[in-house]
Amino acid sequence: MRDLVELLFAYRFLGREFLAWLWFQSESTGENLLSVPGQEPVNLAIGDKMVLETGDGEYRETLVLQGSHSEHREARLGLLQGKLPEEMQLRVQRGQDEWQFTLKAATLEIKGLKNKNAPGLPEGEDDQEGYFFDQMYQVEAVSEILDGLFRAFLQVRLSPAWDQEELPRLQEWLEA
Amino acid sequence: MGVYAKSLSFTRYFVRGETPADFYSWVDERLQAFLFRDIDDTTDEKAWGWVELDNLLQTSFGGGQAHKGEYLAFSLRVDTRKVPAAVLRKHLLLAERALLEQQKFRRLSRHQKLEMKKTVLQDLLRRQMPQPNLFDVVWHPARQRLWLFATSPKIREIFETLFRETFEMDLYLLFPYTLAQDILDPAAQDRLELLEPAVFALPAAR
Repeated sequence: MRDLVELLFAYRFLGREFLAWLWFQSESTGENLLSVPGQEPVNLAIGDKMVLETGDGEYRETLVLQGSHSEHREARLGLLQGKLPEEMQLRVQRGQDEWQFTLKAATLEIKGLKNKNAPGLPEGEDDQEGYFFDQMYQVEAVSEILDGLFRAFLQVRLSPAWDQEELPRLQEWLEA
Repeated sequence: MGVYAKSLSFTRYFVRGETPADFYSWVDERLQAFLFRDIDDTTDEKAWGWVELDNLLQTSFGGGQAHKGEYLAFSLRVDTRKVPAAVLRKHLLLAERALLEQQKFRRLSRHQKLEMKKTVLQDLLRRQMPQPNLFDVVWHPARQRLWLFATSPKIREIFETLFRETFEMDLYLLFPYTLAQDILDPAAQDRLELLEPAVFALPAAR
């Protein structure tokens, strides 16, 4: 395998395209569920904050999206001008679980993961062990969903359908 | 940052490599061999090692403390001793004044200044208590995955070095390329090698 640091840098675009694709998917599915290969479908929405960067990482702009149409339009224009999302807040809902977190493109690391409907911290020391497994459930569930979504992204990104169908649809959405 | 936090932040890893048959007791032994050692009574600026999960002071893995169901869980403790810049500046001025008085206000040589700075810094470091930090690690050996509850590149580097030293296994950061390698079949991996960044701008707008 090539040097990992070199690969981290060389394939930075892949993580950013994944984030852009997730954004596109979240808007094109709307209230509908997004299918995740081998898993239950999820509802995906982008949160309030997005960090855009240019290819070389020199230009950095943090956009705070308050949900208004004009701000989303501004972010989409950024994509048309060659900027890509480096960080994005996401909301993922599946059954009773409703997660919110920030996903970083370069390392797919997760920050500030919370489940709105998780059982909180136990009162006593007694159930510390149980709480560990509750917490790991959140970590594993979100990790698996992201892996599944990344798999779905790769399937289309590495197929002829990317240039023929997906990219034109994405461009159309950006221009809208 | 940890696994018990209300809001979770983490980086993911793949862990691969040969493991002995008595894997779990071997893990305990290895953790025990790379425990955190206190630097309170030294002038060391930095120290790191393993402690029990979410427990600054507990450094015993002999009784299976790291085993939690299918997971192995422990914490990386990193202690750092830092002298605040303003404190260093003040004590350098004090030392300079004392030295000047001592040699009847003859100018200090470059060598003297360097020596003075070294002595002052050592003295202040000894008086500064190291600041402890914990970063939780949860490893699922059967699935070869690991979560480090930290996102700082500096902590990631310390963790990677210590983990490799402790277990002598292959540890890879999960990022788009390594995750793709894990997911894709050989033919798709070849396509990944040739992949160029997409251009989102419409041809007319380019």
